[in-house]
Amino acid sequence: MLDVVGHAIAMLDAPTRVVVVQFPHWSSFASALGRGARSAFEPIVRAVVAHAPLVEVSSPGVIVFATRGPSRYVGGDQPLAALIHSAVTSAVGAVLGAGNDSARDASAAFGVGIADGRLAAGIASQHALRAGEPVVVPADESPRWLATAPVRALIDCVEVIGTVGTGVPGADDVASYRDVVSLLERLGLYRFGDVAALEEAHLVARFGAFGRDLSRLSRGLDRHPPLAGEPPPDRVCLLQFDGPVESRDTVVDATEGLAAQLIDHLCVQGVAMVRLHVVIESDHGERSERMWYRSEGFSARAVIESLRWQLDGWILHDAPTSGVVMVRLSPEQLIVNAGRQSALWGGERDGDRHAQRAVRRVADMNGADSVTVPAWRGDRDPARTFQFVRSDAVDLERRTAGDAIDLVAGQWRGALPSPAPSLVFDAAANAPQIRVLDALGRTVVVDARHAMSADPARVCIDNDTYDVVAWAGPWPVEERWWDSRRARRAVRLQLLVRQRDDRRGDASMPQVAVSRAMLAVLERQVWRLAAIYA
Amino acid sequence: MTTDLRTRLGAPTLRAPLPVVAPLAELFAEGGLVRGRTVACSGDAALSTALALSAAATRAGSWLAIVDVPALGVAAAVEAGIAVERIVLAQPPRASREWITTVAALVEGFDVLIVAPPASLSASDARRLQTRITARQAVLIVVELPTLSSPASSDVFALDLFAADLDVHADTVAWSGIEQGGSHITQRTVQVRCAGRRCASPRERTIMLPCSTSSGTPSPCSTPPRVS
Repeated sequence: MLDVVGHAIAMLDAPTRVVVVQFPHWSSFASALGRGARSAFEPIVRAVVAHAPLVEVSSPGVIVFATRGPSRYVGGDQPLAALIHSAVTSAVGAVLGAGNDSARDASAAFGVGIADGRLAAGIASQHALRAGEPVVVPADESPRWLATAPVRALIDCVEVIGTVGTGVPGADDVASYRDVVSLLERLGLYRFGDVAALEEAHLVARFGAFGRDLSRLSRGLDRHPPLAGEPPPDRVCLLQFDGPVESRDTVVDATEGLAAQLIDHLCVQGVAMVRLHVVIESDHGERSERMWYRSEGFSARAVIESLRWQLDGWILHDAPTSGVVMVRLSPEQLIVNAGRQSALWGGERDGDRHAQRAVRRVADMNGADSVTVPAWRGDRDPARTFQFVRSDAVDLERRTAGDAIDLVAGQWRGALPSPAPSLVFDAAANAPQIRVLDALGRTVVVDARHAMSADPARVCIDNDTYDVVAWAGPWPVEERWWDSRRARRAVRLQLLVRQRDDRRGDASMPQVAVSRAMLAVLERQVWRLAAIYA
Repeated sequence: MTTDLRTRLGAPTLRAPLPVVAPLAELFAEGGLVRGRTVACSGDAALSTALALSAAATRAGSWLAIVDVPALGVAAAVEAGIAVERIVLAQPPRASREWITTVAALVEGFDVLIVAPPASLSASDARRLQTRITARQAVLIVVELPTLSSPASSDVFALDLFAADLDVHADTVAWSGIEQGGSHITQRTVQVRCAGRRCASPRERTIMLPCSTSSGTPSPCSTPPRVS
């Protein structure tokens, strides 16, 4: 008898065979087009939906759906993969439009992978990306195939398998995966097979809740175990409007309360929903249905965010002929609630509440990472003194000065003296390259004793040349000299420059000597613009 | 009579101007930033001046949205006396329609907005945003950021798309402390000129940036919070 139950649970726990369509650089692609990541992704989603009605979208750039129905319909996994690949290719072409920019083409690269379980399929899609054609891992080979895959592949599959269960959504997900992977590698565990051979308890002891996920993922299972015990009662939420509602804001506002109730209800039962099915119907019977996935479980905000995305896409592309009369939210997959505490709302001031609301709305429209708040981090580099935290990771209504700044820590040694520049560029990311030249037109270099080869006389930024009026420095910056891998050696130079005016003969124009102060950084023989006092 | 008309037209009731730090307040006949107006900030100290203009309002409880200034040096905002816990940075898509929809949504919740509009913005969208600003009684500060690549004169500035009520032009006239090699910049003297269609007579002041915030409410800098 016990055996039968065990077998049934094992059957339930078997990984689902899924298709993963992944665009690794979607947001940079969308921003190159000047579009929001979501609205630009919508045509791609619709192209896939034409062949597989219930796809899951968790973030722009990733689509996941079960092969079962669609594969049977088109006659196998191979034809399905080829079909999806060509459908997505033509949809990308339509998004790109007539412009045939090779840089854009490269950032629009994607992969289609089919395998058992999200992780295996995600890795397959990475292979497909490099190969330029879909990769299908046969069902019986899937576990063996995953066992030989490098654990490093986790980093590229963050979007597919979801964030590390730290409870804080944010830009550091990839960083924490990197930490996990680097630790595994230092322990000599290079392949998923090595990790799968370890006992789950050991992984939990070392990595906490993520260790359990890691163990399950390595064994080729889905990240969340199926709910044992009683099958969950029907928890479908239905919202019917008295008359057709034309305004999408009204629909969203009306659903907000319902979503909060649903999440509360699930929370009380100790479960969280990771997969949500949303159906919207118009007065004329037009329907839009979509599956949404959040590995960390849906919050009420996430439900509303998904609904808004679905509504926007539906209104823009299908142009329903009448207002919305019905919204249905059905939780499709529930997991044991790992006890994440969602932030408590309810501020004290009207202004705070209004700001919070506006921020939520904008986050719903453009994605939560498009709205950020500064948080003190402390660093010598002016671009890194503050980091920008996703607004949904903080409670804006209860924010105090202490959340944003920490001046008790005082001035960092080697930090930039006051006044601070109002525009700062991160040397590692977006700082423009410039040239700092001496009077003879040679690049100014700084030797090991921080002495300059000559006084700076000119600065070239792109094609503009500026005369150096005054300067201060060079100031050495030496960071983490104890760590050879992350050590950083650079010098800073504060420059006061004046733009060269070639129209000097024009007497009718009063000549205004516009001077600008800037900060240049020399690192690895390259001068970069680090800050502007704008 | 006028108030009667106002209520009948459903026009927003007048609210007190947003406070501005002492040296800059003298630039405005009303002693502060009149709600519902658009201020265009230009000159080489445009961003610093915009931050200084919004500082007192944030300390009085207003929220500040900074749109499309991804490289903002937050330390400069702290020095300007801004309550950093009430600022939010937004990076909307650059396409005109999506940009304006996002900023319009922000106007609903923020008293002050500092925006660096994209060049692709259309004049009609800019006008729509201003209407929204007037209706919501917020203040829009449009800043001109330094263009690194192209010379300023040949560009059509997004600044011109807005029919600004006030034009604030801020040019640095002196940098103290910096010389041939030694010391570092210690202070910046800026000449600020306020003109425009809502300004009867242009006013000009020479101020030091960052403004000293010794008077009035203490800034978060002078009363450092205790963080456990």
